[in-house]
Parts: sequence; C-alpha cells; structure tokens
Amino acid sequence: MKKLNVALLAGGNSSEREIALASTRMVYEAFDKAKYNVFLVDVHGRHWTCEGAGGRQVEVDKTDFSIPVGDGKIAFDYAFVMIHGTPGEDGKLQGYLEMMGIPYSTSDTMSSVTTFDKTLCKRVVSGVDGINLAREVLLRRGDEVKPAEIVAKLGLPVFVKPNASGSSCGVTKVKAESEIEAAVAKAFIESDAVLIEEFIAGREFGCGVMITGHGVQALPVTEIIPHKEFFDYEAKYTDGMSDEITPAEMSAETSAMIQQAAIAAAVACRCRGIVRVDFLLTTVGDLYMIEINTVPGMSGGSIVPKQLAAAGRRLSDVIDEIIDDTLCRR
Amino acid sequence: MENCNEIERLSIAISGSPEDVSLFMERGKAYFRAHDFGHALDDFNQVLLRDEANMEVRQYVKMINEILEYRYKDIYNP
Repeated sequence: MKKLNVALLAGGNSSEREIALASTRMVYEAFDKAKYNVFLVDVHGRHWTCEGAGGRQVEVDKTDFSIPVGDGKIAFDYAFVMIHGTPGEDGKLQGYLEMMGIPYSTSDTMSSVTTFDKTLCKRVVSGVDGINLAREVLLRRGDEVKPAEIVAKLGLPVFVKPNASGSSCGVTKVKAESEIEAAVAKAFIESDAVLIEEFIAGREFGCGVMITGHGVQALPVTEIIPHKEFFDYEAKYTDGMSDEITPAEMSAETSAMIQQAAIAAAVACRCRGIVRVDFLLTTVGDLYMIEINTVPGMSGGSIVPKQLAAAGRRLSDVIDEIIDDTLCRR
Repeated sequence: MENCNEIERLSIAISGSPEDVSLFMERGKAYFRAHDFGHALDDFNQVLLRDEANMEVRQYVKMINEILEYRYKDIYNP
C-alpha cells in the first residue's frame, strides 16, 4: 500500500505558536513511519516552510499543496493540523484544505468557526441538557465600554476574555470596576470582539472527546487545579504552576455527567477528530461549559495525552483512527 | 446533500423575495458550509450592499478572503 504523504501543520500566527510547536514534536514522534511519510510544515502567516532535501527549508506551494524536490515535487495527501488558535483552530486552514480537496484531521470549517467564537459556541450549546453557561456581555471593536452597566449586570469579579482566542491569552480576572477598561483593551489585542463573563466559582475540569466513524468516546476527566488565581497562559504552560489530576478524583456519577456533557457539546458543534471540552463544576453540582478546543494541546504536559494514557490508548493508534476516519468519509 | 437542498430552497425563496436580505444571509452561510466560498462571498456582498454595518457578515467576508488568499495570492504572486 502506498505510504501517505502527511503534512503535519505546526506553528500558526497566534500567541499560541510556541505551544503548537511543542505539541507537534510529540505528535510527529507518534506517527507510524511505516505507514506515513511525515513532513513538518511550519505555518507562519503566508509563509509555509518545510524541511526538504539536505535539510534545506523549502516553501510550500499553496497552489497545489506540495513542496519542490529536485526537478519534481511531493504532493501532500493529508494534512494533520496541530496549530492552536489561528489559522488552525478558527476554520481558515480547514477552508483552504477543503478548497484544495485535501483531507484533514480536525473538525470542519463551520464547526471550527463555531467553536472558536466563544459567543457563537455558547449559542449552539445553549440548548444542551445539563450544561449551564455564564451570563455575558459582548463588546465589538468600537463599542463604548460601560463598566458600571457591566458590573450591574454581571457583578464582580468578571472574566474579560478575547471572544476568539485560546490558551487564556488576553484573559483577565477583574475584581474592580475601575480595571474593566484596561482589561477590555488587553483582550482586544487578541480578538475583534471581547467577551465579559460573570465569575463562576467551582472546580475546573477538562474532558477529551474522540469523534470518528468508530463512534464517540469521552476520555477520562482531568481536574485542573491552578496555583494562580485561574488557569491562565502561565499556569497552563509552566511546570509546577498547576496540578492536573487524571483521572479526576470524583464519584463515578459526576465523572459520567461531565463526560456526557462533553460529548453532547462536541456533537452539538459537529466536531470531529479529537477535541477537549472544559467545564466548571459548582459546589451545588451545576456544570458550566467554558469552551471547546478543536485542536487540543498534545505536548508532554498537555491534558489530552494524559487522558489517552489513562484510557489505555496509544497516540499512534489515535492518529491512525483519525486519518482512517477522514479518508473513509471522502 | 443537506446543504444542496437548503441552497436550492433558499434560491427559490430569493427569486420570490429578492429584497429579503435575511435570505441572502442564510444562503451565504449555506454556501460557506458547503465550502463554495465564491458563491458565499457573492451572497454576503449582497447583504453588505443593504446593511453595510452588519458585523457578522463582515467577519464571514474577512474570513473567506483570507482563505482564498492562501491559494490565489500564490498563483498571482509566486
């Protein structure tokens, strides 16, 4: 059987670029090289580069998704997307790959657009039983910021976050009305819209979900205990800044409730491949969805690889399953 | 298939009510879901002709242009 030429798309343009590169190294190692020729492609703005013959960096030809090799070229058969944030998680890359007829590993364009836009995602998930959503105020660029009205509606503290971004970049926990405007300005650096949400006190959990033609499977739940005020960029990616316990210490019923909610949210948003859904669980047992990540972290310190290990699944088998599923659906 | 039926249904509705902006909006989204970005752009531009400030449509148009640029900027500026 012909070996597939897989472009492992890494990097990206967002503040999550470094995280995406770390994830990619682990995924690259996990690919079964007997089945796949894996080419690491660094996507940075319009410059997509790949290591060609002799270790030389060559530019990917995006008119046919190939790289030059000597007098010929290698055309990629498949794209495995490991880019967090834009353009790997917001639908742009998926749109390009659809246009080129290249099968890829993630949720499709519309699903990625939906999940990356936090407000839109909440709208889609709002009808799902068992999932609560924090009350919010949405600001578009150019809107007047009215701190008093925001506090009157949501109370304090509030979370101010970019409406379309990841890894908690640009997120601030605001405790005083006077801090709202600065936090909004910081969030606007990351996104054209800013979401302000009421503070929900509770334990934080992440749950991976695999959706392929083989079925839908929720992975064991992870509890995230940040040593900072909340699970921000530093807490996520600095050793010792948070404890992540997999499987989370909780009753089987609570674990099942979170897994069912994760599946329901991912299905409602028409996700495919492997995604991670994050929640807060209040002391009275109400479950609030935070967000869905359609390209979850896959570095050594990331949550999903630990959940896969806890479920007894090897990353290489998961990669095979995702690729087989995508090819079968074509 | 689902999108094809929806596009067909919306096209019939548009021919009966060509001034109804919401129909262009819905068909634009259906084209987008079907990855037919050229037709989606046509419909979203129809919406912008009548509702220039529509933020949702502006976001779709911006995104489609970025998607198309990946390929076509390389064709025209190799």
